[in-house]
Amino acid sequence: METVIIATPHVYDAEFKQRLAGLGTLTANDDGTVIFEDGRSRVYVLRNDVVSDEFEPDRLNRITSAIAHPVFYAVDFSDIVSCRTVITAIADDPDVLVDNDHGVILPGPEFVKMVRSRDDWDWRQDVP
Amino acid sequence: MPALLQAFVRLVALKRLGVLLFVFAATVCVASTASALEPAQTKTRIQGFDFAEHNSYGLLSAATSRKHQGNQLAQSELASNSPLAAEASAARTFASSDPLVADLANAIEKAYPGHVVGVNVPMTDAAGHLVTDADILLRNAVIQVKAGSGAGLTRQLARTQTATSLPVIGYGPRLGGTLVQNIGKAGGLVTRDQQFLIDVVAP
Repeated sequence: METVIIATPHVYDAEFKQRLAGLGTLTANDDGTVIFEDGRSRVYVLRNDVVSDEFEPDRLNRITSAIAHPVFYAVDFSDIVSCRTVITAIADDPDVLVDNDHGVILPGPEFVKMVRSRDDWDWRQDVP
Repeated sequence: MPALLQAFVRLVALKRLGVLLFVFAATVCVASTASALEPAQTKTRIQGFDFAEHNSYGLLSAATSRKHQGNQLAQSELASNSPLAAEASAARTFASSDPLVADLANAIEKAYPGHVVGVNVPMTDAAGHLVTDADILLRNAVIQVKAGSGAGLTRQLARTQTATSLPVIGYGPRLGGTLVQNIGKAGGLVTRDQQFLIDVVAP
């Protein structure tokens, strides 16, 4: 599955769950994973504390310069439409950063604005 | 004379019983030996379904029933003894909402017809919880695919592994160096090379 990373200044489990409520079927696992289903596909939102070990140093610096001690969430998806639904719901927040794993790292509202303004944007086609 | 004949008949009857007993004992013996020598089974849990497969691909083809909730486009399940099975298997094309997944699944299917079980397959852990989707489920491995630099892959491989005893392999043509290095150090399987991957997952 593809992954969008959301960096937050603290644990956002409750916020994300609340923001997704009503948009589709939500299932919460014991480990905190929230599974969103909209009839098209599944999107998994989960805290991921090993993401920082996957980033190149400059990429990690870009994030930690904005959020000193980020908590990372992975948004795992296969279907870009389902992912756009989830991202626009949970990331429209000035306190979070969105990293689409294809070279774009933006504050949440800016990323959401890009998503909303470009209906056909499938960033999986973008070279990181 | 009749007494001799009766004794002969009894002897023959006993011999027949003996033969039957021998055949029965041999059957039991062979069955238990076969059970002991059988390769360890691998188990893959898919939402709403549980199936066990042998490690050996050769043992799979006829015996294993397969069901899953993955993308079932072009995955019509023909009986293995159907005269059309081989032809249909060779012609299968997989579709996915993730373009790279479809491309890779079809490349594998082209190389080894019938080897791809499904794409975007929901996987469950031992407790029955949905843990992730397998991008590509093969008969002998699970592949998680990344088009980008691979963020989240480490955890995804680990989560997938909780749902299957098949090897789980990470693939992405643009995976980052740090990520590949760290997954490798941790004993995980990951590659950027599609042809290498196709060679590795050969049935």
